[in-house]
Amino acid sequence: MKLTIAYLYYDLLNLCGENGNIKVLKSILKDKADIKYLTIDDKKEFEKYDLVYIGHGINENVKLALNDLKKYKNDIEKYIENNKFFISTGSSYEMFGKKIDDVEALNIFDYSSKTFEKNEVFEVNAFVDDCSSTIVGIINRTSSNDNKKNYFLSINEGIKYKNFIGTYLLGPLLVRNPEFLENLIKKLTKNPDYKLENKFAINAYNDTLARKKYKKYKD
Amino acid sequence: MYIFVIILGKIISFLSKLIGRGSSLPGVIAYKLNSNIFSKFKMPKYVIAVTGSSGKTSTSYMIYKVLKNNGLKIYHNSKGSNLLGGILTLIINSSNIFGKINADALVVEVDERFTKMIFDEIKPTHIVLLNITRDQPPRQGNYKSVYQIIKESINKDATLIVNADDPIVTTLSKEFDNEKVYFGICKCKDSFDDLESFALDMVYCPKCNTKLKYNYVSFSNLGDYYCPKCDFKRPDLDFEITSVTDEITINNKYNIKVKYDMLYLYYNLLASFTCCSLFIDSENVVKELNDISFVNDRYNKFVFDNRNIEIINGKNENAISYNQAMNYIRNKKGIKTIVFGFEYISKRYPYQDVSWLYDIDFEFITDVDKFVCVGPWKNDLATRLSLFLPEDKIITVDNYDNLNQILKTTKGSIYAVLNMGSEILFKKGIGE
Repeated sequence: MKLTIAYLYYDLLNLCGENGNIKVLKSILKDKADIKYLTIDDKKEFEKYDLVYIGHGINENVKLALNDLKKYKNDIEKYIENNKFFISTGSSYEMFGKKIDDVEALNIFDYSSKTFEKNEVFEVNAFVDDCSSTIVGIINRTSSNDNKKNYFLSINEGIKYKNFIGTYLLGPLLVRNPEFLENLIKKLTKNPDYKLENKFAINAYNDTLARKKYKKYKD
Repeated sequence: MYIFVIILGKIISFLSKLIGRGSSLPGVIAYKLNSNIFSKFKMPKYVIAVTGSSGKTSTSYMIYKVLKNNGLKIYHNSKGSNLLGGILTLIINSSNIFGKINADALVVEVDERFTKMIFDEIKPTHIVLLNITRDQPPRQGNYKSVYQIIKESINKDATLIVNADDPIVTTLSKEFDNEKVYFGICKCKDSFDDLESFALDMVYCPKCNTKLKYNYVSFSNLGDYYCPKCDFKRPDLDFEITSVTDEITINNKYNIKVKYDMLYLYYNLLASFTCCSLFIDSENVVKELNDISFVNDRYNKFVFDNRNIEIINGKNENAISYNQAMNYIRNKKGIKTIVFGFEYISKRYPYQDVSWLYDIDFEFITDVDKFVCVGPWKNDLATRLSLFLPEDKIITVDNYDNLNQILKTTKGSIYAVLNMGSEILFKKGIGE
């Protein structure tokens, strides 16, 4: 069975190396996955996708993408309810809430986002809610929301509903988190025995956890 | 009172030079004592500010050199002290105790994130806008916030000298009625037909949000762009590199020899040429640029152990400078061994973000024998490479100590992409 992965708004929401997430999926799944690069005005067929990914971008671009995505609100809701995989990182996950500033968003989840003047930066090292892995990454945002679902246990951040994951963490999140990636591949390919074999990725992850300044974030 | 602050600034400057910290400390202290201090100086007739995400140091240095060697009296913050303190230090050192700067012009490199504060104080008469691109996220926020800062800082009577190939600074310049001079590069041997990279900022029309098209791309999102729907396009060029061989030709007339064919060097030369031509005769500009373009600490080439070694030093730990290096290596023929190392991600910020590694287009490089990743971030770098290279082509090492042994197991020309400063370690490592 061939998987179909949709990388939405690859040219608008790709501010901090988000394309790394697609590259790593490609390098693992090879010809087992068909990757669709889609942007505004391209036709989206959610019923055909097994994984949808959207990355981080400047607020103006989020609003451009939102305008396009609104046409598919019902399709997206159905997609999420059907337990399909959806990962939205960085500012793009604001689109699934009620509002972004004064703009109506998709209204799938119960949070609103607001833009602020200065950017806010913090690094994250946190357990996800099912304790399956520790996620490392960085947040750099010029807006935030009042989501209270808290996918991450130790920080007030992120949302998980069925197989939808939204988080302000940006960049190549899947590459930096091999445990998380391995779990995702297991579920996507329905192969519980899958083992991620990229030793460099595993070493880099361990390096990240070992670095001194991360220790202070630990409980 | 202000005379006292200026004198004190000069004394501190003298003392801090003795301990090797003279480039910004005096300005920082003087500003703390009197935040109105800038208004007490009488600026020279011309204040030339150079800003943008990359190329500031080289470009402002070239402008300074050309004008100075043509007999103008110029002051310049040549040590790259491009924040408020550094620029105030320059002004304190350039003025007499009454605050008069006895010079024809100041040439200042200004950090793109601090233009608002600095332009308000120094009121540039000429502003060179090189480019605006993404940077390390913690450093910059995003390119749009830099755009906004520069937009708020441009004074109405300044002449804008703009890289027309960059749709972002061009859009910015079009928000102003100021006098404008545009420069850009023609289609040449290294141009591309279309956008290649994923990591691009602003590829949609700023006026109508249609995806931009390109007649050709010089690098990244720089090139001859136009909107297929509305009238937004690259402006007509006042100064253009009209051909590229082993020298570049500007406006079909002025030839400058280049030591190595790296695109950022062309842009920096062109920006300097354009700016200086507004002050002195272009013939004289070209003469000087031919002399100084040979001085460059970013690049080094030598033969060792019968192998060609080229060293390309990056200054910023971000994708822009590394992409230029990769683009350079990509255009070279034959088998390649690439050494890539950096000791720190950022000197100023404590974050260990590596997202920018994924904005570097390593994939375009072919004929790689081995990729040697050096330093504390070796595994992060190797991970990035493992997304397109087989594991046995990637070597990770902690430092340069045994580089000679490692390189003996590799083939082809060696390209070392290093941080400023690690060139010495590299050379020691190979036993040169």
